[in-house]
Amino acid sequence: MLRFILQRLLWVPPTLIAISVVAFAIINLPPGDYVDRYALQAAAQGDVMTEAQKEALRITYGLDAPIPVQYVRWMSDMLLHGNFGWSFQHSRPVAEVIGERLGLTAILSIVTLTVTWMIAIPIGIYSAVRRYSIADYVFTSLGFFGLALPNFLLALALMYALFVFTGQSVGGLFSSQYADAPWSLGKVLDLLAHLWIPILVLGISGMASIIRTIRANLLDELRAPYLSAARAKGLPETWALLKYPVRHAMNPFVSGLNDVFVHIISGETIVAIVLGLETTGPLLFDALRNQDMFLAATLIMFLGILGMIGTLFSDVLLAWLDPRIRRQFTLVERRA
Amino acid sequence: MVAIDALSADVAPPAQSPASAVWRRFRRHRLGLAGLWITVLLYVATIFVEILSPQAPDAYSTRYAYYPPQAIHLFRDGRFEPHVLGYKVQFDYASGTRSFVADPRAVVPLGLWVKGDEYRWLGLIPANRHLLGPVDPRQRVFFAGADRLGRDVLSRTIYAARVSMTIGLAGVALSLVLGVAIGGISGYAGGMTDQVIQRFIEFLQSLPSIPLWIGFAAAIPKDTPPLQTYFLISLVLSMLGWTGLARVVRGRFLAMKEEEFIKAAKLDGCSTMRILFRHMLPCFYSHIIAVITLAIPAMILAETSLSFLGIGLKAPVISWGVLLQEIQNIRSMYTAPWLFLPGAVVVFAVLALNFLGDGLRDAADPHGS
Amino acid sequence: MAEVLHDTPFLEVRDLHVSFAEGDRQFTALDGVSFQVRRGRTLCLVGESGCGKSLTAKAILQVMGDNARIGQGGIWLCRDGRESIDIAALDPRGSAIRSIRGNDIAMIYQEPMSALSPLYTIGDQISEVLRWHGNTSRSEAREEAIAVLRAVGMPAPEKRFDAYSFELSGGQRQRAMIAMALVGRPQLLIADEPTTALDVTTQAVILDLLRERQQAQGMAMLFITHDLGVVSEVADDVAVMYMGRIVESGPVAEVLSDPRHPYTRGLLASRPSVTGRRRDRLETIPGTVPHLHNRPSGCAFFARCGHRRPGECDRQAPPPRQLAEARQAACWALDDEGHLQAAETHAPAVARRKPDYTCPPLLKVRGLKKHFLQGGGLFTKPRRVRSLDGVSFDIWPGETLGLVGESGCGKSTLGQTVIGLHKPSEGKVFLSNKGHDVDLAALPPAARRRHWRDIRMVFQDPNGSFNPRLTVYDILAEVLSVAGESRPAIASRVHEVMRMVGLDTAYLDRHAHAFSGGQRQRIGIARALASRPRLIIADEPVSALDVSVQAQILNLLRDLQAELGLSYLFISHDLSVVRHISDRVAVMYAGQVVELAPTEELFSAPRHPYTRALLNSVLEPTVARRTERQRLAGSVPDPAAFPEGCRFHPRCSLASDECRRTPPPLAASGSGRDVACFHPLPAAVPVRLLEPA
Repeated sequence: MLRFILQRLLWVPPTLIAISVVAFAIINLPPGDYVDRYALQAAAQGDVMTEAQKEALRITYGLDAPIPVQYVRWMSDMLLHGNFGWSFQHSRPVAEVIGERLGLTAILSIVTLTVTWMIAIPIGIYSAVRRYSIADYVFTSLGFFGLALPNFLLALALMYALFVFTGQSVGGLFSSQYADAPWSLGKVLDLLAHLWIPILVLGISGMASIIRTIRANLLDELRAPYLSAARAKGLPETWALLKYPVRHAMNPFVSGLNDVFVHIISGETIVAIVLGLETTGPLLFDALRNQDMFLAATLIMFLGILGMIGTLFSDVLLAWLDPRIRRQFTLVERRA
Repeated sequence: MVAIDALSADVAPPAQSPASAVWRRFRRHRLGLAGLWITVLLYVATIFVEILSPQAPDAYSTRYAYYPPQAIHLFRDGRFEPHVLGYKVQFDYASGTRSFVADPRAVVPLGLWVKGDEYRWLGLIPANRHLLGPVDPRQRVFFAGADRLGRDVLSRTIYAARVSMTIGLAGVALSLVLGVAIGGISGYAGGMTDQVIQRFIEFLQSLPSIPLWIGFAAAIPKDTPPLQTYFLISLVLSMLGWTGLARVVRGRFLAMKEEEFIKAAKLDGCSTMRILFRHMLPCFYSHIIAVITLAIPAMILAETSLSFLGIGLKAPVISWGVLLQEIQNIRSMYTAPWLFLPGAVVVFAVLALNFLGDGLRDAADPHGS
Repeated sequence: MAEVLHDTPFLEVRDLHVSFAEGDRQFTALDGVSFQVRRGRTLCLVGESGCGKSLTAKAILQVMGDNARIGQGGIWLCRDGRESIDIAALDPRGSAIRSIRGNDIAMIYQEPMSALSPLYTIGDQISEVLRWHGNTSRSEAREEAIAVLRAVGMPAPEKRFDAYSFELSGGQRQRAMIAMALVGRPQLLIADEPTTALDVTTQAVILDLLRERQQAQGMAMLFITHDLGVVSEVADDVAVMYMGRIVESGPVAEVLSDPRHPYTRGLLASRPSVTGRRRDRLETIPGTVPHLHNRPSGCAFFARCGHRRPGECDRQAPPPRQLAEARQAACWALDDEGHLQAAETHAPAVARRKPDYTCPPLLKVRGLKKHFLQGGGLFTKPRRVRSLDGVSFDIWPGETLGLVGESGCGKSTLGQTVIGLHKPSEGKVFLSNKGHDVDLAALPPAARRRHWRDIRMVFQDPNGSFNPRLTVYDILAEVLSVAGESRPAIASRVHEVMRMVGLDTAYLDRHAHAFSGGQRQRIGIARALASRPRLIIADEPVSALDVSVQAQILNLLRDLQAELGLSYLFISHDLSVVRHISDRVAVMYAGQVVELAPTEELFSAPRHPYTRALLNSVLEPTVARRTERQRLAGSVPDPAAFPEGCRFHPRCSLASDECRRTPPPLAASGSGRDVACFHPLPAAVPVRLLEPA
């Protein structure tokens, strides 16, 4: 087991380097750089920058060097000094910009995930076991709708409905009076009052796919002879179902968990933009659009790391759940 | 001739090809069948958008800004005379808002196959006939209301179908070529080639997809001509789609390589190419069709989301995502909820395609893969 | 004896009807099944696949699946000192049936690999029976489960308790499955084809075990099998099923020695024998078991029956007729005494052609080796699996060489390496071509392709060996069109081979999956014949087929050989089939040939201890049950780690120090027999006397 994890960890550094290169490449794909964008914006406000001014700005930001050099500088700063670079847009260190949004993002995503799983997994199980029941039809059709409805549209529709029924315009995670206030009980309650909308929006589409996956997996497992054998042993129906087919059906689900952490950080980008949430998704979006290079690159790196942690997490979880995988590695160890 | 046991007792084999078996199973799938008809209708509609829409999509008039939807009345004074009623604009000077009140005297008679805005059908044939519209070509009707520039939402939604429904096809076609070719090579060659391709796909899949998407889309210069943007966006979409398809194809190839009928083909003296194209590929046509049918709605949703964010297709191109940008402005959403129409159509089209794909998949693979 | 008969049956199934719902339609699967299972006795349900045997077993425990429904009839369970209950009337999810399952009635499934979950240890799955049925503590349950594992002969039961099913060998897995059924001390054990997936040597051991446990616990047993040999080994009573009905039943000796129903007769006659007279042709039951969707009216066996009386049999299904005490048969063709009128058999004998050993061999295989590298990663060395390890033999024109051995002995790899699907690691494959030998193994692929027409293959799986997208015409024509023959030539050859295998050329535009299993195997043979080959390698060509269909295919192969002078390399695990069809037989063990001899000599007087053990394990539907037999312990060695010396020595009772050190060479020991053994059995003394024909 340990060896298996170590073997996985060995792949992390090369993959990270590859991801960082790709991240840098993506950002530099559009023509021009941040200074060009900045000059464009300035020009729109009637403030024309000279070439010399632009060049000076480039030198301050270190954008004058060739891209590979910029890359090496950024990497070495990061590895040697823990310095992730400077956000041009926000005029602050990247670490700070990301840091202040991370907590909220994590809360939102973890709550959403928990709620989604707690509701969707039992529904998926029920739907498979009571196939073709009325409830199954209802859940299945809801699932189809959940998949067909882009979640930004759901968010907009929900906002509209709330506007019509309550006359209030909703958006953001805090009411205006709490937005910059320090944390207090009131602020927490206010957060909860706002949190349910993104959770609902994000949850519905997530649930739809989880219900479908679990239902499909379980339907296959319900045909397996070990369920029949468990029944023939005289186990109670519910126990037999939970112990055998449900547990088996969780395996493909767990192996699909690899991008769960990536999802936590970036899955809700569009919804967050629509709902005006101060999470990392919109941050990344703006950084990419405005070529705020180091902010974008750091965020992508961060996502890459989370992706790998997620894969490792789901692999280890799978090995823990499935003795076939576990024993395979101990066998290899014993032989080696 | 050799003496042979009588086979009289054997039941004659039914004359049924695998394709017809798939079709027979599919026909039992009612939702799938409904999805098929709706999908066919939608794609046929994309050919006739100019005729189906009552107005030109870019005809604007500030007079009609946020003009609400007009309901069709079939009878007037007890006689069959389809018409809509115009609106009177009332200003509430106290609050500074404008409101529309139906005017029973402003009758706009409707007709079929009426003259209206000029257009070139499919960009080629000049014409001015519309399936449904006001009898008097100088009048305007808004069955689904108007947007902030007074353009007809219904006409624009119909026109958008052409772009949105086909961009999925283009994206899928591209990812299909990439996926089948690369997945096929990987699965058939096996060994080192397979390993390299698999690591590469894994790497691509491990890249966080959303920034990749945004990054590529943002990389398209703002002044790219519409048609080129269309193809670039479909390229971006297919770059995300092909890895999944390649894995499916590879898995199938790997499994099939061990099948006895492939060994039999080898023993028949078939070359590798013949085995690939005559014996292996046809065996998962139906599976591939199901997979791509399910990929099209995903691409439609992706296009809608990208365009909505302003990094996909851009005006003057008309797509559902572009139209939905109108409601990014919360205020216009509140005043003109009919701007949701393109969104509803997206859901409808995606549902139909999903039902169709699901039905096809079940029919192609009755026992699950 | 009288006491047993008067004892009330433990389980009585009366007029049981079960139907399947498919869409809006209902299909009858069990059509009035009645039988009794008595304490301490074994009832065998026997029949071909699709006859409803397994469904009957599942109906008894009410674990049939959601779309099956018991229509009418009862399943009466009579436990000691308690009143009888009708299981059929119980709620399949209720607590009443649950207290019966695993407790009064337990079941052994056909495939332990899929009936045991790989996610839990076998100990967990065995002891949970106790934990749910009694107030047994975890440690007590463990103790008891280990005791049962020991009782079923599981080696190191304390250790195996914590093993997973995928870590056990096939035989051990089946032992675990049996332990799981026995641990609740059931009074009725249902065994659904418990040995079908096992090798003959393991099968014999498992059957011994089941019988021993039955006697020790005084259980009743309902044993389901398609194999009449197994029936004669385990049954007290037998019930023959056909299409959801019991067509004949009675004590095993009477039914096997004096079958009354045409179906029972057909089953017995179509089975080749290891000990009996060697027949040139097997009698067959024409056709196959119809699908449930096409249940005929009247007697379900009508269309396949040699005794049928049109106008009578196809009108009404025959009711069971009492022939003697505890003996029934359901057939209209029985006379007043309950005997079947003789019917003319339609199996014209074809003169058998003897292979000509004077001319040079058609195929010479010399020192053939095939090693596979398996696994291996960043940190591990790949395993070298020695599937074939130095095999040599000849095949003469017109000869059939049978190749037998347990699963994993390398016999399939041998066939595939000879034909060129695998590149041999070492060794030569000479094909005689116009007077001189060509070494196929040394040819580059392009040159080799020219010889593919001379050697053809018939595959085991009649489902998987045809491209589902191609029509039968395309399948048969493929080899010819690849060779570039003209369209008319292809068409005439395709029609010709189709007729040769006895299929109607009108079906050429159909797809292979539309045919029945037997018909598909005919198409497979036709495909092999299309290129006018000289040698056909048949890899388990009949083992996926029901016994009646198997006989049809064996006859066809025999006829074609006589007609065309073909040579066969016939690979099979089934010794009776190999004996029937082969001129000479090679026995393989652990990648090597251990004995090669003319068929009759090998079967009457095996010289290698392994051959003898194999023969000892074969079960035959004979009346007299064989008494003491030696069982072969242990299992086939891991092909990546063969034992030193003779590879058979760990399982051999005759093994000496020499056997442990040096591998014995395959040496000629007179009369055309080769044996690889330092202590061969004497050639003169047969293991058992041949029964009179």
